[in-house]
This record gives sequence, structure tokens and C-alpha cells, in this order.
Amino acid sequence: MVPAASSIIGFILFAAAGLCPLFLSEFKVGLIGLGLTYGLFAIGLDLAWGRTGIVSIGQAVFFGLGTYGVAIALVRHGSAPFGAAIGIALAGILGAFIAAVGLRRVSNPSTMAVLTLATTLLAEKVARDWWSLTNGSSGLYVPPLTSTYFYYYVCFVATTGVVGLLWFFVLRRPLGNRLTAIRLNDRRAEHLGIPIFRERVVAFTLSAMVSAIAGCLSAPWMSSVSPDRVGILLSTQVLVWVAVGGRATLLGPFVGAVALTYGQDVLASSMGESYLLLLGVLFILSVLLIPNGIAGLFFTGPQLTDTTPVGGTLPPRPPLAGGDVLAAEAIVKRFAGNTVLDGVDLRIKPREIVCLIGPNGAGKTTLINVLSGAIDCDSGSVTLRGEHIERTPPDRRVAAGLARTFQVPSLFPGLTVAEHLILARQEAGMATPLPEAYARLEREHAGLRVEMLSLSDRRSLEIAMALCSRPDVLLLDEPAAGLARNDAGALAKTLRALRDHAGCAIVCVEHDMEIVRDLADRVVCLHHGRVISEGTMDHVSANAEVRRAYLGLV
Amino acid sequence: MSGWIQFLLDFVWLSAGLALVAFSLGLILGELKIVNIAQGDLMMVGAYSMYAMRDLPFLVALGATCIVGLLLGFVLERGVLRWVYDKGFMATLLATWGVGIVLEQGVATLFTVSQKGIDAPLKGLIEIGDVVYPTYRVAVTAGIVVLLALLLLLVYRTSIGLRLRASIDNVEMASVLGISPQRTFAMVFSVATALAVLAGALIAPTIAINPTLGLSFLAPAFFAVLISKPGSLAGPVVGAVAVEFTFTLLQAYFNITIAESVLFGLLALFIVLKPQGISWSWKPAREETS
Repeated sequence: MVPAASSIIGFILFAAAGLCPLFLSEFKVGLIGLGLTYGLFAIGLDLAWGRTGIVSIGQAVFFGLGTYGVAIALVRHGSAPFGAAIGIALAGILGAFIAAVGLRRVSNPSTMAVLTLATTLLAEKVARDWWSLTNGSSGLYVPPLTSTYFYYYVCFVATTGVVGLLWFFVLRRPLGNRLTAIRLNDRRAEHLGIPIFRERVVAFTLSAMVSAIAGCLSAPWMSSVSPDRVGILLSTQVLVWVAVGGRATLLGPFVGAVALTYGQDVLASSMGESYLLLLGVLFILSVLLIPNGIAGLFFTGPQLTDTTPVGGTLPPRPPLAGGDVLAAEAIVKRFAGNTVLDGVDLRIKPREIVCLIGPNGAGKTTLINVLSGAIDCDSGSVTLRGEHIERTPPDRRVAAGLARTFQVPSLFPGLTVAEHLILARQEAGMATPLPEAYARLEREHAGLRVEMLSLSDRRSLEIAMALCSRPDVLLLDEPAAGLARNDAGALAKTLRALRDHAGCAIVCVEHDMEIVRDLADRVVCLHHGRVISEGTMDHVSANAEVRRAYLGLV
Repeated sequence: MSGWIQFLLDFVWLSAGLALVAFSLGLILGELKIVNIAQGDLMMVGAYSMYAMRDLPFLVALGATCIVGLLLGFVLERGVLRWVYDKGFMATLLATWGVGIVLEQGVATLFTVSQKGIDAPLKGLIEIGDVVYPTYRVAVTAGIVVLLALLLLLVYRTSIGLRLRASIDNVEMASVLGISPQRTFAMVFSVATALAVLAGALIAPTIAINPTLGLSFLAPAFFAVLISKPGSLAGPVVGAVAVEFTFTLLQAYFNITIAESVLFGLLALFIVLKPQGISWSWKPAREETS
């Protein structure tokens, strides 16, 4: 539940916004009305930046498309809703396009920064040059409102409506949880089965459209709509509103936008241009001192909605055609001409536990990465239940029955144990019960943030999340690394029990030979990117080549 | 014929300035992992610094401006940026944006927003083929080419450069080897700031000086960095030449806004095809190991 304090503050502010026309002058009501539409604009940005972690420093482009859509319609005595619809649609298309270009799995965050920045710089120039449509620098003159009060309530209702729709149909839904997961740890999100590219594009497109709706609503408040509506200064200001108000909250963007719009009017009349200097200083200070903004000072509640599916069962996976559940053939992977995997073959039978051993640099983790889809191999094939998956993205491999953990546990910083399992079960589409060793973790530490967990518990949580998807194959990268002696000793037993309970095969990278001896049905030894021996532990450890690889003898 | 010579001269002149800015931007992105939105504003500071010292001899003013740049970079890194390194990519980006606003508005308060101009120290013209071109631009172009050549030699052929590249590649590993991240960050940002300020100072006599002059250089400089391999220092220089060549060529056929739109479209296409940028060298691209 939302903590009481922020609900009460939120309700008071909401009521104040609803009732303020009864007490304030027409001019001030107009100012707050504009502030509300700016708040919605900021909510749009927050959807991308605050919720999903997508860099957008040209958000005014989308806002301005809405504003121009309405203004052009009004000037030409056309239908304002029609102009609005065009503006919003264009914003959605442009947003989807930018996101599809800049948010691919391999893209750097700087790509999105440059793309959005370039878009806003360009849009301002286009608006200035396209005289016939925008009337250039002097802008379009928007007819004045007949009733400020009436239009204020139009804005109030529309803004509340859009925010309400977002809250109930996006943020409080599995999609909202997914966006949070992507923001906190995109790699983990992907290996839980979340299609991160698609959801980021969806989030950015929605963000663009919400900002455009805000732009449409704002047009009647302006006396003229000029190119600065799509420009870099407004893009900057909306970042300031969200940063100062508070990211990933509903109130923050509104508080930031209304307070600073109102403040701008009061201060700009007395300070003139140096108001912007003050804004810049305020912005730097807020980034340095209150990274979560004003609302972040009050709101410290849970970040996810409980979306655990009730019941639900996994549709039975089709029976195996051949004998192997997972097969890799002739896998080759090179980094900068350095061949790390040099034609590796690996076949895993159902319910089999296979340990991958080999000296450091043998290619064990790279092989796990290739199998799980974290990296693509240069050549070779990977089949899961007979289906080729070597070019399938990681999230779809999870759905197909492949789950993994990382050498350094990869979790969502700031989320609790319970929230991790909410995400995992949401993505699995069912409330999978866990084996006892993992169910105890859930019972005893449900409300604990993962930073508070011991390394051993963090590893267990990662395995528990992987188990939620009922995988056919579980890939574990050094599950015993860094564990205390007796934790490590218990591990082999726990993992064998897990295999019996969940019925999955396990592929496990492990260095501790005692654990390998207790755990493995079969041992595969890698060296210089090749399989040099496989079989039982005794067979492998007796192999002369293995001994040379480990002892460094030539 | 003269049309081509004019085109080449313009292209070389424009790409020299852009290359210097892009090198500086790539240095900051490579070492500090920061997208420096204030880059254009640093150039603007350089132009205003030259304007403030317009009564001094040009080279003296240029030297003083470089010192202003070094100091400004040092103050910004120690005063603002170092506090946000651990707060994530977006925080550093926003911090530089805040710095940009403060610089712009600070300059607007000090000098007012009205346009300024300064005289070039070399007023002559030289004839190249049958085209007459300002001597100042030719001299500055030559100066920047020499400067960039020296910088790239420094980066790729000296032990200082080796330490810098080691730090760019893996700052933690480099710090274990005794290359202090704090000192490298402060030094790199100071030098990069001074280079951007210098670029602004050098082009100052050829443009109208106003507080937002940096904006028009920002997008092309970022394009130049974006199309080259992350962490490469020669990449942005080559990227700048490629971007400027395309842009100058487009401007020969379209008006500037359409040319910029087409350039942006080409960039988007490029990113789709090469999301990791191009390695402008004959060595195979290094990939991220995870």
C-alpha cells in the first residue's frame, strides 16, 4: 500500500487543484492551468525516464507536436480535436521510431541522448523554417479563451483522466512492473523473460503520446505558439520539473511543474533573464543533493504492484523428439580475434546434472552466455528441445525453458525478496511453489531488500527466480563461488533435491571439485575453448590432458 | 572547378573546428563516461573570453583563454561532476546540462544577450586556384590540424597516452596499476574543456557571438562521436570529417534545415546498421566480454 503520508499530501494537493478557481484570480487560475498541463507533460517524460530509465532530453518535440496540432487547427478554423489527434499520432510515430533506432539491446545510453537532443534541435529549426504551416519565428496566434474557469476544469478533468488511465492500465499492471525491472537491471530483466526492447519502445511511445496530449491541452493557454514549444529550452525545463519534483512518482512531476511555472511567473517579473540562471543552479543542486526529488523525500514505499498470478498451470511442454533437451554443436565465439570457444559440442539429457570444469579462461562462462543468449555465437547451433535458438533473444529462450544465474548474483537493487519473486512469477505466468530450501528464504526474508541479504541468500534468490519459470534447463554460473565452507557443502545436496523437485536439467560451472564430485551426473572439461574430456568425475580426472590443463604441464 | 575548390576549403575549415570539438567530447565520453551536454556552452565561453580580451594581442588572448578553459574544467570537475559519477549515466548527463544552463545564463547576465563580434587578427585573403579565401581560416585550419596530430601522437605514441587509454579501457584495472582515477578524471576534463574553449575562441572571429552559439555545434559533434567506436580517441576526429563532409555536401543541394534533417535521417540509418559505431581502423573491433 502507498504510505499514508504521501496519500494524504496527494489528496490535499488534488483537492487544492480542484478548488483553486473558487479562490484565485482569473490570471492565477490560468497560470495553474498551464502548470497542470506542464505537469502532465512531465508525467509523460517520467514514464520514459523516471519509470523505465530511458534517456530523453528532447521531450518538448512531442509536447510541441500536440501544441502545434491544436494551434494549426484553431488558426485555420478547423477542428481542434482533429488537430490534437494528428499531433498525438505523429508524436507516437516519431517516438516509436526514435526508440526503435536508439534502444536496441546493443545500443549505448549515449545513443538515445544524442538522438533525442538532435531531434529537439532539428524540430526547432523546422518549426522556424516551415513558414506556411507554423508562421515561423513569430508563431501562431491562438484565439483567447472564452472562459478561463471552464477551460481550467477541462484541463483538470483531462489531466486526471490521463493520469488515472496510466495508473490503472499501465503502472499498476504487469507492464509497470516490467518497466521498473528494466530500469533497475535490464540484463536481469531480460533473463527473466522480459522482452526489454519491445517494452522500452512501448514505454517511450506512450511517453511521447502523453507528452503530446499535454501539449494539446496547453495550446489554448498560450497567446502564441512559437518554435520554442518544440525546442531545447522547454526540453530542459521539463527535465528540471521532473528532477526537482521527484522521479517515478505521480505527485513529483506535478509539484515540480506547477511550483516552477508559478515561480517563474513571479520571479521572472522581478529577476528577468537571471531567473534561468537560478533555475540552472537549482537544477544542479537538486541533482547533487536530492537525487530523488521533493516527492522522493516523502515516498519510500514499495516499487512494484503484486501481480502474482492466482493459480495457473504451465501448459505441458511437448514431449522430447530426440534424446537431448539442450544441444550445442560446433560453437565458435571470438573476441577481437581471440578464439574463446573453438567448436564446442555439448549435449544435455533431461534431468541430467552436468558440471562444466576447466581452468580460468577455458570459456566456461562464455559458453553459458552463448547458451542463455547473453551473447551471440559466431557460428554453430544451439537447440532447445530440438528447436534452433542460437539467434533467439534471451527473453524468448526463458519462455522456451532455459533459465540462468550469474557468477555475481544479478538482482534488482532496492527491491525486496518478495518483489523479486513477484516479478519472476509474473513473467512465468503462474504462482510456482518453490522447493523447501527456497521457500524458507521467501518466508523469512520477504520484506528484506536484497542489499541486506548474505551472498548465499542472494544466490539462492537468483535460483528461486529462475525456478519460477519452471525451466527445462537451469544454467548456473559458479553457484558456490564465495560461499562459506558449510554453505558450499550443502549446495550439492540442495541442487540435487532441486533437480528432483523441479525435474529440470542443470548445467553448472563449478571450480570446487568436491562439489563437482557430489553433484555431477557427468563432467565436461573445457580447455582453450574446446571440450577435452567428458564423462564421470573419475574418468575426467584420470585424463592426461585434463591433468596437464590444470597443472600447466606441457 | 572553382566551385569544387570552394567546397573543399569550406569543408576542411568546418571539419577542423568540428574535429577539435568532437575529440574533446570523445575524450570526456571515453574517460569519464559522461555525455557532456555543456560542450557547446564551453565553446561559447571561449568565444566570450576572446571578446572580453579583444583589446589584447590575439595570441595573448588565446593563451589566456586556454588557461581560463583549464581552470573552468578543473572547477567543474572538482565542484560538480565528481559528485555524480556514482549516481548513474542520467545524473551525470543532467549535471552537465545544468552546468550548460548556468554557463549560458551567466554569460547572458555578464555580457547581455545582444550579439557581439571580434576582428580576426589576420585580415588578408589568399588566392587558392581561382578562389579567394580568408587567410585567418587557412591559418586556423592548419593550426588545428597540427594540434590534433600532436594530440593523437600523444595519445597513441607516448606513455602518458598509454596510461590514458588504459584508464579509458578499464578504470578500475588502471587504478590498480597506479593510475589514479581522480587525478586522471580531473586532468582529462580540464584538458578537454580547454580544447572546447579553444575551439570556440578560434572560430569566434568568424561568427556572431551570442550565448547560445554552442547549440549549432552540439548535434554534429555528437554525431561524430556516435558513429565511432566507444572509447576511441581517433574515431571522433575521423567521424567529424565524415559528418562534415556529408553535411557540406548536403548543403550544396538543400537549404540548411533540410540538409540537417537528411543528415539526421542518415545518422538514424547508420545507428540501425551499426549500433556500436564504426572502428575507423584496420584492426578488428573489440567486443564487450560479459
